[in-house]
Amino acid sequence: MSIVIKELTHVYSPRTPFEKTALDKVSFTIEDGDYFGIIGHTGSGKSTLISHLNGLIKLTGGSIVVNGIDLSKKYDYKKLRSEVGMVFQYPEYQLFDETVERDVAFGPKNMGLSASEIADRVEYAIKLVGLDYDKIKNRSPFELSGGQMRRVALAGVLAMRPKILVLDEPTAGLDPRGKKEILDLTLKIKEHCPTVIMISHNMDEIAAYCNRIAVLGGGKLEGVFTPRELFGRSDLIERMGLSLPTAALIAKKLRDRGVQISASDEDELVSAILNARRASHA
Amino acid sequence: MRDVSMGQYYPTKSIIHRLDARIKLLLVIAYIVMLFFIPTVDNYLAKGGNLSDYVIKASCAFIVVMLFFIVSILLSRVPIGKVLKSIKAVLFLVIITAAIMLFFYSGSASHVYFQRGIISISLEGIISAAVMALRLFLLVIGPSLLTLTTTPVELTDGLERLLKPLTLIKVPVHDIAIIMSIALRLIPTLIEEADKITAAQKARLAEFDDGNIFKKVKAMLPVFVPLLVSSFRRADELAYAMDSRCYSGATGRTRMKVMRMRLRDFVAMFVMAAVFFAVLVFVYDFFGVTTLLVNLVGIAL
Ligand SMILES: Nc1ncnc2c1ncn2[C@@H]1O[C@H](COP(=O)(O)OP(=O)(O)O)[C@@H](O)[C@H]1O
Ligand SMILES: [Mg+2]
Repeated sequence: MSIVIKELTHVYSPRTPFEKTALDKVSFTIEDGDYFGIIGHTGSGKSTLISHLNGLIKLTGGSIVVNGIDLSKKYDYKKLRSEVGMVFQYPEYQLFDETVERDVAFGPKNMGLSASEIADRVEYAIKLVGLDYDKIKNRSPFELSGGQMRRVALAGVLAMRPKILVLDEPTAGLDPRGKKEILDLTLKIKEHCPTVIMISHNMDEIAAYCNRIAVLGGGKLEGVFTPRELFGRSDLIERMGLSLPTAALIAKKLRDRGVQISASDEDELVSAILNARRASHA
Repeated sequence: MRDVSMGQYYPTKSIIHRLDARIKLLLVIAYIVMLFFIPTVDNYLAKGGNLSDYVIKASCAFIVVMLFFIVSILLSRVPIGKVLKSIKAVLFLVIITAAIMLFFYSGSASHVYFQRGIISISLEGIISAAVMALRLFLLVIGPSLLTLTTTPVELTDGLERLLKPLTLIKVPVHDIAIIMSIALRLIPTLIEEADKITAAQKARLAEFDDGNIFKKVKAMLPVFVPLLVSSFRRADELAYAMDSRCYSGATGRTRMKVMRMRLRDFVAMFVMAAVFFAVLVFVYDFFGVTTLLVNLVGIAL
């Protein structure tokens, strides 16, 4: 099972003065079990790309096959949307029901599941996102804190038990601790939902959590890389208007000053600096 | 979506687009008044005029207006199709009005072609129907050229400046204008927000278009509630942001973009005045121009 995207092209408002090519012949494959990152500057087409994956944007150019479902043919969109869970930017703004429990139940209910199955899934999802089920289930989602609201919204998608989870900038608007909590949560979620796709324009996040990273720029795919490959491409990163992860950036600045080290995360950086020190003292 | 956000605005960099919004507003008002100076058949005949004079006067006047309008469209570089599109909304009205004129003309008629009961088709009826249709058409399409070439924000700005004298009689012109601009500014944001929430709920398999009206309304709740919540949040945030930048209404406020009259604005006013004058010349037979025309046509025939 996998997501195969071929020559995906999307134009907004075609044949008007506002015509905008948001995606231009983008092709790549996401394998089962990937923690797949999509990185690019604002407006590079990331959201447009992922909105195709569950059919929210109709396919108009190219082809996509998601877990065997060919989106260029007629398909069962209910099945597709239960299979691909989509968490948009600021998902807390989609909460609407009177209680947390009812809000989380919205998706499973729409799937037409039995009442007991729905109740099971709601409990499962609320617990999975690290909230206290008994305490929170009867509260109004609007009286929760921002971080809690985001978790509830996440639970609302997880309750559908998707096989692929797509997160559009899940850390936007959170403080550093909130960011880390959500990101660590995605690792826990990944044990239940094997394929996770995360959009971000923060290289640190992408570097630390993803095993493969697609770089988008102006609607075009610049390539799919492992984190290590990507940091070797500081030219590309600069051209895309992105910045290196902090650790790699420090390593690069040290290299520019003649210290021969390389590192892609904090631990590597610390040990590399220590090694370099030892070497220079020896 | 974006189409809504800019109203009908069709961006080109034409001279018409660059005219001062205040001038454009004034010109449109003058244009509408001008159309009303062209009398209807009834009116003209009631004052003792004869039909062939009327036809010549009215066609001359309409030709002048049409020429003016066509040149304006060409200058604006807005595709003619876009301009005509605004007619669609009132096409029904135009047809109905013209049909009533055509079949139920009740004034004195010189040539009656068909008569049965209250339905009668006469020469006068045909001419009034044509004039009415033409006038309605021009009436609708003129202002639409304004909205095609001016952004809503420019329009509100222009309106505020034009209505400024009303502050003397305690009309809160500035407040009304700022409410209008904020509303205009927020419409696209709200639409975008509604789109996003709709997408998110669709991803959770919400259905929006099946069932009866009650079901549909109920189905809208998952979009409507978050939209309402976020509108209130937005209003709050905006109020704070304005407060913290010391916004205190109109008093002491200056403008970043000062509207300044340029040569093109004066030229536009001059052209409009000339067209207006030409229409009056034809309609009221100043200097005997129309009489001369009538005679010329008579000789030619
Ligand atoms: N609904 C829309 N209508 C028109 N243009 C859009 C719409 N959504 C996005 N765009 C445009 O398409 C481009 C890609 O947008 P998006 O996919 O949202 O980028 P990203 O998520 O990477 O910031 C942008 O230039 C944006 O302005
Ligand atoms: Mg985006």
